[in-house]
Amino acid sequence: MIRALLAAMAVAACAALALAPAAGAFELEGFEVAAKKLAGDAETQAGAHPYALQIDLEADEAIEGLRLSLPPGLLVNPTTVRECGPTGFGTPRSSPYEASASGENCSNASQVGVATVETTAGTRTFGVFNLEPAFGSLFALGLSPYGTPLVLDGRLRESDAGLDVELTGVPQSLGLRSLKMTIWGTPWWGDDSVPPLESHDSQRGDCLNEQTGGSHGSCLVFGTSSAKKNEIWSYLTLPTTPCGVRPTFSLAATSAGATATATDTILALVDCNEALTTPKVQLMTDAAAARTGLAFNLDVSDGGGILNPGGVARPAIKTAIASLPEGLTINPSLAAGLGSCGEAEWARETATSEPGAGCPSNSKIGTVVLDGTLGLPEQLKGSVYLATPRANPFGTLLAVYMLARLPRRGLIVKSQGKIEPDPVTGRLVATFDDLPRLLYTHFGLNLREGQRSTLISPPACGTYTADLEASTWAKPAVFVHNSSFFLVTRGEGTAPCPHGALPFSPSLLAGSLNAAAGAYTPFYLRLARSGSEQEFTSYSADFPPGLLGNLSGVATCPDEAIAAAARRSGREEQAAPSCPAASSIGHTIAGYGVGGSLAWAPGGLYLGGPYHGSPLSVVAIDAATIGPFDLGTVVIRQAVRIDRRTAQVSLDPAGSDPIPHILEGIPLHLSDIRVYVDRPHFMVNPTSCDPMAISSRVGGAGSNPLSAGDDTVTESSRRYQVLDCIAIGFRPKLSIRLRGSRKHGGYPSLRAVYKPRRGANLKAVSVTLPPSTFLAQEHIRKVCTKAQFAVDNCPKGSVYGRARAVTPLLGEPLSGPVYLRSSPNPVPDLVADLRGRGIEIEVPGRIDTSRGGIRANFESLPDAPVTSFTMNLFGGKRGLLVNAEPPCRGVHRTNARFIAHSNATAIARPQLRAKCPKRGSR
Amino acid sequence: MPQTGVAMRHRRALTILALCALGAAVPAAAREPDQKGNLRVSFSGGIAPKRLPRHGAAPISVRLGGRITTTDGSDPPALKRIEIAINREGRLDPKARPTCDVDKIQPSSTSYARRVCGAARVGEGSFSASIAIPEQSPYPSRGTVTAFNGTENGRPVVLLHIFGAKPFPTSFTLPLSVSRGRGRFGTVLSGRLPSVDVHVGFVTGLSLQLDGSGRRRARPYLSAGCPAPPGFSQIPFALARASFSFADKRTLSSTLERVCTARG
Repeated sequence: MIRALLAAMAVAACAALALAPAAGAFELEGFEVAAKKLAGDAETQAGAHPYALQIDLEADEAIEGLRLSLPPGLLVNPTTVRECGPTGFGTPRSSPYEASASGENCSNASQVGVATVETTAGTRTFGVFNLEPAFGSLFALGLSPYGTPLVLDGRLRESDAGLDVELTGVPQSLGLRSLKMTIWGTPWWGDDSVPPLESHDSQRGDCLNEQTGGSHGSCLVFGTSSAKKNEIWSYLTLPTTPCGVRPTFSLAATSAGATATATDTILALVDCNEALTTPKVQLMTDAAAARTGLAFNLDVSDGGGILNPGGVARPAIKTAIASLPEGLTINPSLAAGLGSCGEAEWARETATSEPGAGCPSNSKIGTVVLDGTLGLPEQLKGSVYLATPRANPFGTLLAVYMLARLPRRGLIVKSQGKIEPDPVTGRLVATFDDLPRLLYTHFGLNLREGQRSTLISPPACGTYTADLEASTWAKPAVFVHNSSFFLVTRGEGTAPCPHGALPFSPSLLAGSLNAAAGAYTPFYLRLARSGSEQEFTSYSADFPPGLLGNLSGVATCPDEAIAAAARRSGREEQAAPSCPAASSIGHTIAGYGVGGSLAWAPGGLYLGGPYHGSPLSVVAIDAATIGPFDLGTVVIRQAVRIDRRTAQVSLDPAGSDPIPHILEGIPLHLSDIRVYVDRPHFMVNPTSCDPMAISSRVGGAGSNPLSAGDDTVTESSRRYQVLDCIAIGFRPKLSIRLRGSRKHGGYPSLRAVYKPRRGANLKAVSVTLPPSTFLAQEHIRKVCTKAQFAVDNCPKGSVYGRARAVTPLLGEPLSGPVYLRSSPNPVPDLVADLRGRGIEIEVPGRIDTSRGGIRANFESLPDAPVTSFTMNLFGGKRGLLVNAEPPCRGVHRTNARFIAHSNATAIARPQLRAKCPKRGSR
Repeated sequence: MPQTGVAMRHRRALTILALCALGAAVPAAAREPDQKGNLRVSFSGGIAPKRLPRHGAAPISVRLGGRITTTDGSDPPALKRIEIAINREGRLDPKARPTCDVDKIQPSSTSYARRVCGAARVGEGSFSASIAIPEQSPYPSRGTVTAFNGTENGRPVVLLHIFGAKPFPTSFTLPLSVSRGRGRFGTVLSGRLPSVDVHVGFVTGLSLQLDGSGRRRARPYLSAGCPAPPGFSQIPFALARASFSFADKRTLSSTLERVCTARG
């Protein structure tokens, strides 16, 4: 039993092997394509509508499926004829002339050709119809030989905008060995009055003799009538380019799992139409320096072209270069909240992909529409996405992806372009190359407007020109130039129309957040301008005397780190600031753009070392990173000048970096600068409650930011005043001691120590020595001139002592020599030249006499806290003082009058002490 | 001038002066100028009382003054040496007063100097100078001059203590040595200003009144007579001659001619 079963199985297997075709045996025995005129000769006119496109294929086995790839530019215009619905296509034809073997009953108006089919049932000719395509297909051709529906599904090939026609699911039982298909270029050709020769009426509908492919008569398009002339449009359009090159058709057929391929070409196309377009660039606004979108409309003459049976289609645009006018620039605030689209995301965009499946919606910056694509009445709609800066096919900062699609027909048009801003002028040049070889009659692009608009209109009224250069696939190297004009006719809002020099009156807010005199406080400064005003180019300021920074414990950012910061990307700087945290003194926020919605970029504020001759500097390092854009860093270093007399802090206009106007071709439109000096216990208020001011000088770029010739400087003063001066009190303490010789006529040294116990800073002090101490005029050999002092070239002999000041604001004391310096007064001034941490402070004392004693008057002292101030005057041969009476005989008192910056006063009469022997030892 | 010489001469009548008397034709306070180039020195002086004993001597006070100017307004050269010669009929008696050391009064204020050496004080006056400090404009200064009887190296001197409070308190003490003169001038007071003065300024004027009365003292510091010949009540005499030597080698001199009235 078992043996019998095994034997039967072996026989069955052998039988099966004998029936199965050998692997790889399937071959295409013929594949020919031809575009023909009515007369039967080849149609070679590029962009023309052939009388017929013949596609013949033959295989040695039954074909189960095939894919026919049409050359790019060969268009099928499915809406020019009516569609045959499922009912018509599924109902068997009943012909009055013969028994029909066709399984369809489509209307004459939907027939677009005929196909001769060789099957196991014989060879017969059937009508080919324009079917209602499935969702996602551009078109569908159908025939139903022997009741077997064959649907050729037409789809747009994304790679080169060619069309693929695919037939699947052909039953093996049909035994399809050969298919000779003729597609009519203009199916409805003809008129009801005089049927022209081009008419296909003899092969249409029931008139088609399926047996022979001949005709039983004449069937009009609409049964009893032909199509009217104004309804006649072409169904096929030959490629418009390339000229002189034979378009290639590719075929892949499958049978029993095997695939056979073949290619064929038609004759080279000639006489390419080179007609081009009428560009139109339109701004969304007519206001100067305003947020604006951009409407770019390209109305294309189709050359009579895509649908007109007698016309020749013009070639598709290959390259478009749009140069926007100078002054029309990117709006930096666009980037706030903006995303970007990566290459992988862009690749996921298909004709039917869901929103967000490809480019994220927050990367959308505009919309695109295409009309007349492939002659379709439907509009293709899509979006413009910002490509990920630098990680895009061009590697550029600015690039966009554009797509328009018609999901129902599986149509998607994708292109990508780079936008190159001029690094100096910011003029935008957008280049789109290798545009799809699709024909359309209108291209419309709208860039976003509103609060986060893409662009900012030019700053002044006038006429502006946008240029478009375009080339076609026919002649890629030949560019046609077109210009378009638009007008800016008014100012923003109610502002007058800007002409010539732009206004410039920036607003300034500045002050201490804690108004208590002598207190530590955060300091705030805000500089703002409106969009219609001149761009910022520089800033410098004189701060109120006494508004100081506590440098104790604050490091300076090394020059190398500052230089490195300038080379880094904004994100790198944000992730790991170049300057050490110990040098941080605050932060900044910069607002870029115009109008109420700016893009904000944070930055750091650091203490820098010497710069342009000043001992210190302030460095603002802003990461120019907004949204997906990273323009690097903006490093603005400003020299901090400290007045030698008053310690008043200024930002030196001559030693400060300019505020950049443009980065990588993107005009920054810096509109709002906010500076917070908020390191704890850094900024300290004055102890003077007098009204003062923060005086600022703000540089404006004039009308032309590129030229320094029309730059302007406006000065702005902001009132500044601290409070509660009385509350801080004033308790100065002075001790004076003679050392060295205590003989009459001797030259003692003098040590004066000022140690305030608390309270307001000392503004002035006059100290009168008792008449027992004379000025040793005979020892005044050298006096430093003012000119020498100014250049730190005082002669050594003009040094008569040393001084030292300890302040909590510095990590080290200030110290230096005490000079006699020439002055307009009768006696040279006694000047302490104090230095520490690169800071130079000059403490001059005017010498005169009062009640027979030498008086030193130190006036206009810096409003700075001092822990102690010590002045030592030399004794002996270099002594400036001489004992006019023995210092140890009697009590000698000095007279000291103090005035604080808070205007509090104090008087003291400290004894002029000397190191005297005890009474018993005299 | 040795004290013995002065003592010998004080007894001598001013007979010779009387012979040359010019009477009251010479005003008592007249200045006697001398000029060399642009440099001009005016010397003035007088004695009090003018009425002096025909025989013997009586205490007197001598007032001397000098003023140094330039005709073109430029700064005068630094004064290097001053010499005042007093008529030989006058007598200066250093022993009539206690002496004071220069170290006690230099430097010091006038009040301090008078406090510590008041007994040796023999005169007072005033000065004007131009204070010069390197790199500074000269500053006119005025002050007091106090003359003290002193010694230097055991020899009598007149210490001229000069004190100025402005522009800053400073003092200077110039020792005028007392030496014996020749001819009409028997007593010569001379002093050399130290070179340091060249740097600190220049004197533009000096007035000094030497007081010989001594207030209730038995011995006058300064005394003189008026030895007019019989029949003459007044005689002219050369009261003093002043010489000023400057740093530029110029020396200007002036002699004061005065008249005394004989008493008795």
